[in-house]
Amino acid sequence: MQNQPAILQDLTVDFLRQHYPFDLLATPELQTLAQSCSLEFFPKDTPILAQGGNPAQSLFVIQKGSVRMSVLSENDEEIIIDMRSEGEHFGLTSMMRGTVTQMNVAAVEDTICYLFPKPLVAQMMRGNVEFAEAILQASAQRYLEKALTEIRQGDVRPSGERMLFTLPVRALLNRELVSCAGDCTIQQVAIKMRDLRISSMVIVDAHGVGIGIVTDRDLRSRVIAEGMDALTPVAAIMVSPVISIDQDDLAFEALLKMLNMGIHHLLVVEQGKAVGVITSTDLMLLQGQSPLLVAKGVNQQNSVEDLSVSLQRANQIIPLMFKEGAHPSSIGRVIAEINDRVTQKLLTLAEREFGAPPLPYCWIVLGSEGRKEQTFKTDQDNALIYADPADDAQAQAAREYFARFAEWMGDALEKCGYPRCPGDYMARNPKWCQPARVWHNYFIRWISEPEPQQALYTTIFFDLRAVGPATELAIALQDDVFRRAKGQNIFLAHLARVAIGHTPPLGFFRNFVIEKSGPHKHTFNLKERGSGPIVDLVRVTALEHGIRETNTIERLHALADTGAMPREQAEELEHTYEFLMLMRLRHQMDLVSRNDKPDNFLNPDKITAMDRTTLREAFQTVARLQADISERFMLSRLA
Amino acid sequence: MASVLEGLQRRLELWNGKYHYPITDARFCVIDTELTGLDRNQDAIIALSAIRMSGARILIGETFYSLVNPERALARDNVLVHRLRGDDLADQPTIQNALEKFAEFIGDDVIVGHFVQIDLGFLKRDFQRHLGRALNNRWVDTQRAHQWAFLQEQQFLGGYGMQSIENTEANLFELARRYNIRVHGAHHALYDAFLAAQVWQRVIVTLRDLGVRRLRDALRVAGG
Repeated sequence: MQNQPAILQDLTVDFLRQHYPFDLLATPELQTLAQSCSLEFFPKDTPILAQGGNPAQSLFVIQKGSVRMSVLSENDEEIIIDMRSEGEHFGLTSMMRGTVTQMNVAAVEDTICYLFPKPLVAQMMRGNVEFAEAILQASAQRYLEKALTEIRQGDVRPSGERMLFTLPVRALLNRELVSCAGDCTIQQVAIKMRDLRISSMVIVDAHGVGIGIVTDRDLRSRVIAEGMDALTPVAAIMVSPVISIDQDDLAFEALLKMLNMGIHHLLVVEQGKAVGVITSTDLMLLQGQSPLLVAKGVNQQNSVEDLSVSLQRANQIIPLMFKEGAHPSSIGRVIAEINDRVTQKLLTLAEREFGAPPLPYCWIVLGSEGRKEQTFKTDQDNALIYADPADDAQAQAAREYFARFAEWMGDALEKCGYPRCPGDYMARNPKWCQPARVWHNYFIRWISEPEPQQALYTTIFFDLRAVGPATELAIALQDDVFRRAKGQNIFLAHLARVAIGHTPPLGFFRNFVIEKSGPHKHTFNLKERGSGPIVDLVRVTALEHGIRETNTIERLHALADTGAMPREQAEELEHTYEFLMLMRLRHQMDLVSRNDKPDNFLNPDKITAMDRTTLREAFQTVARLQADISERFMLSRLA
Repeated sequence: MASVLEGLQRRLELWNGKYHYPITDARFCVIDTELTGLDRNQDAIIALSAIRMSGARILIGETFYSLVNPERALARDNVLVHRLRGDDLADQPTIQNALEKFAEFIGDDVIVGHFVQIDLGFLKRDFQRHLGRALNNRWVDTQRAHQWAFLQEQQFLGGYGMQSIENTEANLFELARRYNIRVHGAHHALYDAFLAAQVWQRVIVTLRDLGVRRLRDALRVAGG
């Protein structure tokens, strides 16, 4: 018909073209889709698909707004599985299966969706294999899709956030290349991957050129699923040739390459030689509020005020990483990295303020910060150690200089959002701002003449970590401490007593409630009675065996590696600890999202049945370990 | 006399069961026209557009758009609004041709539009004049529906002494802004109809919340 511009269809085609995987369709295919689609409006909170309800008759593509996908657990709790927003689709599996819908989909805000009728979508999928594969792909790749969409739309972000476009691939390499020769057996490779906790292994030839790659996915699908002999040379199952990228290429090009090839690992090469591997997760972290970005922001600031502004973003990292499936322990490490950078930056600012220090010094952090297990911002726990002065005059000068220095640092950290420590474990307290000699004496006294009260509060000093600049001061101190602590049974017994001081609430699953009154009635303290005892128990065991790691997970690894603890027990504890931290983090995130102050008080009624069961097992593990320790140190006799 | 009877009959139809079904089961045609001016004695239709809706769903593939040769010089003001010049329209179909196709497209769907009585005035005139028959489709005015819903809320709020001083009359673009609807291009009859269709989607929800769920009730409060 003349005079009939198809402008609404054109709007639809334009929209689809901007969104993966619809951009894989040719223009005539898109026009066919547009011709038969309809546009529906769903006000905020409207259910769109219902669990157990009729299957979807159309594929829904969100034109504007967002939806929440959730399932109801057996005890009617809503578990949110995913959120989808503009350009993303839902209803595909429900539509394709044609049986009852398996999840609830509801509009989170006012949402507009394009509806594409089932027969038409099926026709497109039959006619375009690439499209079919893409649309069926697991939602794990949605991050990358999203990123690409943004790129296509020319989404202009503030300069600091366009790291995908400015950062070379080599900046993303965070560990040295782990490789092996093609004649290694599959088993050898698998063992190495497990021990190093890596998800891929590069196979190189005699010249260090990558000839193939094996990922944990390959081990599953090509070895286990096929029942292949684990003693076969790895060359038989490696993916070859390996897709590589030059280390000077931009992160964005790596992303494109992964997307185009449908892979998650890329070999990074320097003049043809393999130098490392980057994964889709590395790139994911570059998106949006990534931790790397905050860390970079920190380096660029030149005053306390600017620093505190750039740090406001840091609070958003935890939920983000959490959403991306990061382990609580990785979150802790990232947070520690950011805190360290902030502190290092402040130290240079302080030196600028007060002039060069009279003696080398080292800023140290204690407790959870020392263990890299901090999550939401907590109090400052820090101290300062400086080189021993040569004479009284120098001692006097150093005392005065570092007193002012530490005072300034305390204020600056507070301005950056780290509240002062109520227990005054801060370098600004003269007691914790001392030359190396004094620090050595402190530790000697704590170890050789332990007193119950002291054992309690000195524990945080045994988790010390050097931030800089003169880290050798702290390392020498640690060497001395760990050497002395090993075999000091009375001291260790005191620490052990601390570790069994708080028992886990084993009875809570039988409706025993722990806090019976006060503001935290009907809850229990997840840190004090769950993760805390594990930290304490692992610390004692690590000190007992002279292990100098401070991070709980790393201590467990070291204990297992040296044979000081059976590997199964170490792994059980690791999982238990990760689980407890996860629960704690989730609880705190929940509070923060409601603008409450994060705390550790969990109401057992408010968690799912599965979490309750796991929690019970976790507490049983803690209780068992406490019993072991109690027996080993013969604590009953000590009393 | 005939028209009085017809009017009575139309009103009676609202009482018998004829339109007693959910709004979401109705078929609508959201329309918009462009005119050379607002004087029904001398002005003409120069563009006609319509988009079909199945209940609250906008059917993207079912649209109608036609320019019309007004067979007279265009007033300068309107040229500025529509960016349509006499030359653009010289080769376009006559009003009779365009209306025949338009009538075929809308069938007996319920007509929806923003301030739709203005469009209806011209359409009814030209249906009589060029097709020799009346345009008798049922209609809903999104502006009236919005205004009605607004007044209901005012009465409710008034009971709590919270009357808002917001203006009840709103043009299409103001409403689009209020409903947070993306505006693609203004003063093209089809884009405007698309906008009105999206406003109608929102108004249907508002009406539903106020208890207006059946087509009959929507026709009563905001149409005819």
